[in-house]
Amino acid sequence: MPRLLHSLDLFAPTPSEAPRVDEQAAPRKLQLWIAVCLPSLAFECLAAADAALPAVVVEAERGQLHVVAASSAAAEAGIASGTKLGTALALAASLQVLERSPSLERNCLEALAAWAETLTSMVSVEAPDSVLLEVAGSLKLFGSLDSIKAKLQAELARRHRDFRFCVAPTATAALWLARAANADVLQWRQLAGSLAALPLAVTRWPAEVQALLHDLGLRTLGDCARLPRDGFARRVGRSYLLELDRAFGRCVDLRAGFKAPQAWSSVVDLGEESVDSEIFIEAVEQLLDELCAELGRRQAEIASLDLTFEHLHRPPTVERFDLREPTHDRDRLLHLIEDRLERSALPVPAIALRMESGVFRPLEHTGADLFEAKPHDERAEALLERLQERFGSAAVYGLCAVAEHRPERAWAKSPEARAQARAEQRREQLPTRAGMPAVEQRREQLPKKEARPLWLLQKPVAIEARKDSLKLVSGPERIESGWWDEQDVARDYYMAKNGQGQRLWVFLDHRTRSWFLHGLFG
Amino acid sequence: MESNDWQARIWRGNAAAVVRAALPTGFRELDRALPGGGWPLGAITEVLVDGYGIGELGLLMPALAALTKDDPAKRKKWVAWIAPPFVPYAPALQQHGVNVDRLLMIHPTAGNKSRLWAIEQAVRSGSSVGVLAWVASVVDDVVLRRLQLAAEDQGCWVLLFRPVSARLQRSPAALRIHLSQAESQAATRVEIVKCRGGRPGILEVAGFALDPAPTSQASRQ
Repeated sequence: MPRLLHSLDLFAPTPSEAPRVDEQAAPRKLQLWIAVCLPSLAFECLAAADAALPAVVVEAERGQLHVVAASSAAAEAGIASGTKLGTALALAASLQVLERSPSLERNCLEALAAWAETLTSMVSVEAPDSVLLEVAGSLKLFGSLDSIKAKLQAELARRHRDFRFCVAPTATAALWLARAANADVLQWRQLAGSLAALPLAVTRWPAEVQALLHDLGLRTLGDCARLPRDGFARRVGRSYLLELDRAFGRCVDLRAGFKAPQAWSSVVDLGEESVDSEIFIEAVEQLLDELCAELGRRQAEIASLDLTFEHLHRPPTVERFDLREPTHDRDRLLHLIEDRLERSALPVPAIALRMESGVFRPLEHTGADLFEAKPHDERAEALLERLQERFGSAAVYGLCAVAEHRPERAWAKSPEARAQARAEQRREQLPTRAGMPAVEQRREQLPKKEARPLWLLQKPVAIEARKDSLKLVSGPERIESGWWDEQDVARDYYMAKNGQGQRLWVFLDHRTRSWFLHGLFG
Repeated sequence: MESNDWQARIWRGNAAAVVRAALPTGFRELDRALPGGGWPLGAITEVLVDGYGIGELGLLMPALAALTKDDPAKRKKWVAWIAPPFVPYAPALQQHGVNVDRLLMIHPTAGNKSRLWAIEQAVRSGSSVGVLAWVASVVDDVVLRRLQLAAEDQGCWVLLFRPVSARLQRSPAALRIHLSQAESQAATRVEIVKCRGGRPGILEVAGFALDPAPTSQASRQ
């Protein structure tokens, strides 16, 4: 690394002002930053009405409208960035003037940054027009820097973006070099030389700072770097010196990492109003393709999904899908949506379909067992989900026995049959030593010698009038319990047989002295 | 010599029926009457029965106990109950040795159509080893055929409970039995109406009606 030239100390040294640079602390491990500059982003993210006519994007600056970006047709007419709007209109009569939209630009950058997360985990958005990627850690995965650059190039071309990018060992250097459309710098020793030749404009420092430096006779970054540090810090500003230091790799260049939003949404315009479910399914498939590609990139899954049908002159119809279990499986989502669309009819035709995912959750990876292939049972999950989707979650449940004397309370629905199944699976996955007896996981059971019927009625049915047609076969079994929760019972249960040969479970209620049917021996 | 040769050339219908797999019923008389020695797996079994409480579930208990038994070598699968008329009583099922954790109750919305849809989903999903369903007397032949194919694909034990009035209808089921009350108290009369690869017949199966103990023993055989 080249040492600073402290050749001429014009100003009295004030050590507090200039940040001290410890040459030994220079980063040892080479980082590789790719800076992607999108110089025409302001123009690209606004769709011009007519591509053939010249168009400009304008922004208000000190009360005047200036051109920020111009289409190629406008550039031919002599309009450049910075031209006043009045001048531009004089140069091209049929000029389309578009207002700059920082939020749209931001969205474009973030979309690119979200995609760039497939290349590296360190992505940073540099407003207004750049994205920074640190790729040294990804070189092994992609083979070479060239293959990463090729992927980046292909994606930018797919997005129809005018772009420049440059690789350098520091983020600031990469950004500045990219702005100057410079060649890649892959080694520390080339960095200072390459940066030194750059004009000051690449720094995008405020105009007055640039004017000051210009008046001092400084034209390039190299000129600035040659100045005594203390003097530069005092006359120009400490922050600019720091920025120079970052570019030259003399101090750490930290960047805020980009975090892609934890949800996804997209719209498909149907073109015309429709009630045709086939058209809907087609649109849904298209949306699901996008969604699942996104989920795959992000290694995520979702637990809910909203499908919104947009109507003309009416509030939209929203179909919500709550999944039993987070998924990233396209076919499973498609089946669910198909089932729902099959059964529900839209009140009015829809013009567009919007899909919004719930919050992304990190994908849970289940390790495969070498000896006992026991993957998580996706098919059982999918079955439960489809059934619950159609009949409601209360219509599908498991059973469990409860240790309780009152017959109607001795069983319970276990809606969490799924959770139970999963818990069991986990339990089994725990390593158990061979030869050790498995821990008995059975629920506590009351010792039951008495016969219980296989069918139980939801509620006991009064049968007093027909009592005589019954023949009591065995019994009684007295059940008297539950005084503590005010739902106590005092009953004598009998097994009985009726005229049709049905075997019944009946009881005599001691309070009302009346007979009830409570079950059938199926 | 000659007569032996002649006998060997006779084609016997019994051999033609390829019985894929069978699930022992747990009742010796019934096992003997059924080809393969049990309930046909990968096929529809129709149980024609009017009224409940004549031992129609008891007849299935040993097989259900065997199906739901935890086998560490196998994947756990459901036994789905679709539209049961009453509450299957968990304590009684446990007495019969059935592992209630593996049972899945499904109550479709009213109508035969949604029931059949649920049956088909349960069979096709490949996550059910058995499906017990209560359906109406009139079922579309095409739907039954599709179910039969799905059951064959998945090797699933599909049991359809239908009213006796369905007996006159055509059915692709591999086995159709008609259950009624036997003369003796603790038995059920089983009439085999149709049996692929077997013969129709009538038998009485005893020992599961009022006293569950013998059946639970049978299931452990």
